[in-house]
Amino acid sequence: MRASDLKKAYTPVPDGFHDALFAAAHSVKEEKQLKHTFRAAAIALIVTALLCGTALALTSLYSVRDTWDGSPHSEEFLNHVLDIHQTFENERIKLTITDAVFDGQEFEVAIDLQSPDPQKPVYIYPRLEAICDGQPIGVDIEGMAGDFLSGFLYPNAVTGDLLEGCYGFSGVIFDDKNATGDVTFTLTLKLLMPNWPVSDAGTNQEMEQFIDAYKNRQIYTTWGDSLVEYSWGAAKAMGMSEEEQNTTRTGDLLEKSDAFTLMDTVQCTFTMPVPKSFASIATVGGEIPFGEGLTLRVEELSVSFMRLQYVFLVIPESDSTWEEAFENSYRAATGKNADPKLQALIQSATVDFTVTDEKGNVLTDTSGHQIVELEGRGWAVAHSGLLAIKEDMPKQLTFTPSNGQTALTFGLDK
Amino acid sequence: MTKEDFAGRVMAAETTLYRVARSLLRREEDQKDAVSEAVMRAWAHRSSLREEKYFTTWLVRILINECRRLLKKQARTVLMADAQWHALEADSVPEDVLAVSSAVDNLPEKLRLPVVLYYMEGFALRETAAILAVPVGTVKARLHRARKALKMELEACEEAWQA
Repeated sequence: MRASDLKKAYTPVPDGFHDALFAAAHSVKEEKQLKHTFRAAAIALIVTALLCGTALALTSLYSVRDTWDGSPHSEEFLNHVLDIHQTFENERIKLTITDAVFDGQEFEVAIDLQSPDPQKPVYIYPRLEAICDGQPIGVDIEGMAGDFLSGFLYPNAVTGDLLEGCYGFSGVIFDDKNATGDVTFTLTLKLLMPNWPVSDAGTNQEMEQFIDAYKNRQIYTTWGDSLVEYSWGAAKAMGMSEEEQNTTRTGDLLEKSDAFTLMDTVQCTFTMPVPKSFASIATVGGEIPFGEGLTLRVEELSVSFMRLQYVFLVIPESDSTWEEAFENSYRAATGKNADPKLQALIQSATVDFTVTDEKGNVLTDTSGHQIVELEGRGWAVAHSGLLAIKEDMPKQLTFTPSNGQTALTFGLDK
Repeated sequence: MTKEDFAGRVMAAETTLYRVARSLLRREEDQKDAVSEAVMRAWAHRSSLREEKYFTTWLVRILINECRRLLKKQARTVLMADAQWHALEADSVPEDVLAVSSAVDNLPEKLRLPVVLYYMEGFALRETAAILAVPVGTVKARLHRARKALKMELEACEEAWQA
């Protein structure tokens, strides 16, 4: 599948949609001039304030305090930011680990990158380790800006530095047991220099292409900065076994190849406490009846000054096996031979939750539904939601289901 | 911005608005309601648009919020609605195109919206990130996951048809 296939995926704009849009766009009315002038004056003040803020931001390093849409962070967020300001510089890159924030489970690290010569890129490959109470704990990282999961070429071979130096990553502690004391993070960034000419593989990304590129002493990127595919091609060209390929990380594969040379290793260690306000509630009260033939299980609920995350499972009483349910839901989604009985079951287990805080404010989120397999229980519908907390942390959360069942309320005061 | 400018800019973004609404809402009636409401809100809050060059990204954000608001009002019947919608489209759309649209629809919203905005609408990574109010790296990570999910879904689909 290519990007061009995706462009064709949706039908052209239907007439009905066009008519509705046209009618709406042409039905707007301008307000009286006085109100407009007042608004313009107010905007002028706000714009001036924003410009002052932007000017300040332009002269400083990228920070976790910065937001893409200019919206402010809560006071509690700002109180938990740790300034690091560790800078490393060589002939190809200037790198500053600016600051970090940790909410008890999730963390963000801001990294400012500058390239003195965009024609001389460098591959940045991270490792992150965390220790709590003297024991290593599992952490999972995701690129916040830049692919910190498998490393990335900087600047991008196709687009250059679109992010203007603003890089960083977020991550989450995934240990079953939540961290309770201080957590010491050690971030290691390996900087690898390409030894051969770099170009992008384009849209036709076949494995043979990457193997041939390596054999021809060339480096092919994917999407201008990813070397995941190339590292596989290099491993194959080097004659590595499947097992070795699968157990070696991208950066280590590249380091073993002739295509890159390790220039420098940057290491930064910082310690951050688990905030007292962090609340994590898992499997609260086991399972509760949730309407006819349904049971609800609170699988996960955690709240911090950064975000709220929940996973509820709605488990139907059914003797259907997982395979049957999956097959039938797939058929239902594609309109082929849908089984009405199973569809009805899936439908009954698919409810909406309206989330409100102690003041009755509705918290909007990007919730979704997914059919999941439960060990020994067949299948269930998982309702998960994740939302950013922009203001004060809620003290109480109420989840009101759309199927008329009793709302679930959780107090979050410590 | 005059109302004529506003209307012109809205109509220029028509295809983008349709695809975004279509990716979040299955029923055409809902898509029409959402886009009408989004346009009204955009006009009412046009003072919040800081730079006119960001008109489309700003309007798409409002539309996404409107679609979500509408979804929350309804008791969702995702799979039933999907089945009905695909049955309607199946007559007029080639099977391979239907498979791709179905695969896109089956992605979770977190992955679906970046695909629509980046691949279908051609927004830059940074614009996509601004519309979704997430960092650029998150968009990249979601696009990466979406590509993997689409590949798996389409392969499974092909195998099912061949069986």
